[in-house]
Amino acid sequence: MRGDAADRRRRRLVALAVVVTCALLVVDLLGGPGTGLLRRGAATVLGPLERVLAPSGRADEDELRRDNEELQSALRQAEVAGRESAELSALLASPSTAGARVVPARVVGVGAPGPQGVVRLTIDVGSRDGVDVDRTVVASGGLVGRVASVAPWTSDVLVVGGPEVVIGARVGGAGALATVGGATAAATGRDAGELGLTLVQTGTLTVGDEVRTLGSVDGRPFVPGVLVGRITAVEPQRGRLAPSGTVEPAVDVGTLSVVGVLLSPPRSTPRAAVTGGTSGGTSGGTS
Amino acid sequence: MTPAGALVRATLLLLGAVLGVTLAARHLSPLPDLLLVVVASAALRAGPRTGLLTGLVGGWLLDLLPPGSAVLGTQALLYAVCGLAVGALRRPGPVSVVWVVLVIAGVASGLEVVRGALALAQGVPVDVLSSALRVLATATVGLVVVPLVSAVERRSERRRFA
Repeated sequence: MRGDAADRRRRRLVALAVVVTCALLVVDLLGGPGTGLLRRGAATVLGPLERVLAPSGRADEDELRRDNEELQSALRQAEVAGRESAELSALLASPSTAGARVVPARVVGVGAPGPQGVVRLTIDVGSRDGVDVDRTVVASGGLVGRVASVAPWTSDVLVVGGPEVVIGARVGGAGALATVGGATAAATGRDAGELGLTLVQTGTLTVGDEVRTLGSVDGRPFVPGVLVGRITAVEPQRGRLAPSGTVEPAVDVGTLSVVGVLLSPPRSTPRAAVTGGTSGGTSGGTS
Repeated sequence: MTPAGALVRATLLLLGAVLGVTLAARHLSPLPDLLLVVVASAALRAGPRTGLLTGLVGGWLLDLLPPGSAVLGTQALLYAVCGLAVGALRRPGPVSVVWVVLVIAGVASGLEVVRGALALAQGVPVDVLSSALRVLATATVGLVVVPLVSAVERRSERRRFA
C-alpha cells in the first residue's frame, strides 16, 4: 500500500518535471521572460568549470612528479603556448582587427554534438573583460560570429552557419548587397559548413568573389568589412528574383582555438557636413 | 534509489556533460556522446521511468551548460525520450554486451536523425559521415562505460546499506 503511494508520488514527480520542461521550452521559443536569467545564472556557475577544463597547456601536479612526464608536459605546454601565441599574432595582424580594440579569447566549450556541426561555442572572456552582447567575434581568417549572451567569466557565441546568424554582406568588387546564412536557401544542396547566400536584388555573382560584412549601426552585431568567405558556387536563377550561391566560410570553426572580440565604440560626435565639389572633384585637386 | 546513488548519478551526468562540451573545444573527432552513455546506463539498470528522469536532468545540464542550446528544454526532452526508449528495451537479468551496444547505437542514431532533421528544417546543412562516426564512437564507449557506471552505482547503493 505504502509502496503504491510512493510509486504514485514518483510518477507524479516525473510527469511534473516533463510538464515544466515543456512549459519552459515554449516560453523560451516565444521569447518570454525568465529564460535569459536562467541561462545567465547557469553560465555564472558552470562557466568557470569550463574555463578550468579548457585546453591551457598547464600540467597536473601529479604529472610533474615524475621526470619523464615532466618533460612531456613541458613540451606540451610549449607547443600549446607556441600555437596559441602564433594564432594570437596572426589574429592581431589580420585585416579583421586592424584599428579595432580586440579582446583575445580562447574557445573553451562547444555546444551539443550533432550533424549540424559547430553552431554555438563558449569563449573564456565575459562582462568582466568588457565584452557585452552583440559584439563581432573574429579569427585571423575572418568572421566567426557574434556574442549572444554574456556571463561574468564566459560568453556564448553564435557561429556563422548556424540557424540564428544572418549577415548583411557585400559581394565582390561591385559590392552587391546580399544576405548570408539563416534559412535563405535550402540546406540540402550544400555541404556541411557551407553558407547560403542570396543577393538582395538582381546582380551578378562570380565564383571566387569575396563576401564581406556590410556592417551595422555602431558595429553591432557586425563591424563592416570583415571577410565572411568566398563564393564557391552560383546557383541557376530558375525563376527567382535574385541570384543565390554558396559561400565557403573564411574560418574553419572546427579548428578554432583563439578568437578576438571586437569592441568598436559607438559614434558619439556628430559627423561634420561637407560641401560637394570642393575637394577631390577635379584631377589633381587633392594635392 | 538511495540518496548516495542519486548523488553518484548526478555527478556522472555533470561529468558527462562537462567533458562533452570541453572535449569538443579541443576538436577531438569523432567525440562520443558521453551524456547519452550515462543516461543509457541508468535506463538499462533501472527501467524506463528512471531513464526518462535521468535523461531529463542530463539534457537540462546540456541545455544550461554554456554555450547551451538555442531553445531551452530541447536537449532535456531529447535525452528524456532516449532514456525512456532505452529503459523500455531493458531486459531482466544479465544481458550480453552485444545487446547493450546495439541499444546504445540505436538510440544514438535516433538522436542524430532528430538533430539532423531539426538542423535541415532551420536551413543548416548536415554532415552524415560525422554523425555515423559519432554513433560508432558512442556505442564503443558504451561497451566499456555502461558496465563501469552500473558497478559504481551498485557499489554506492550497497555501501549505504553496509
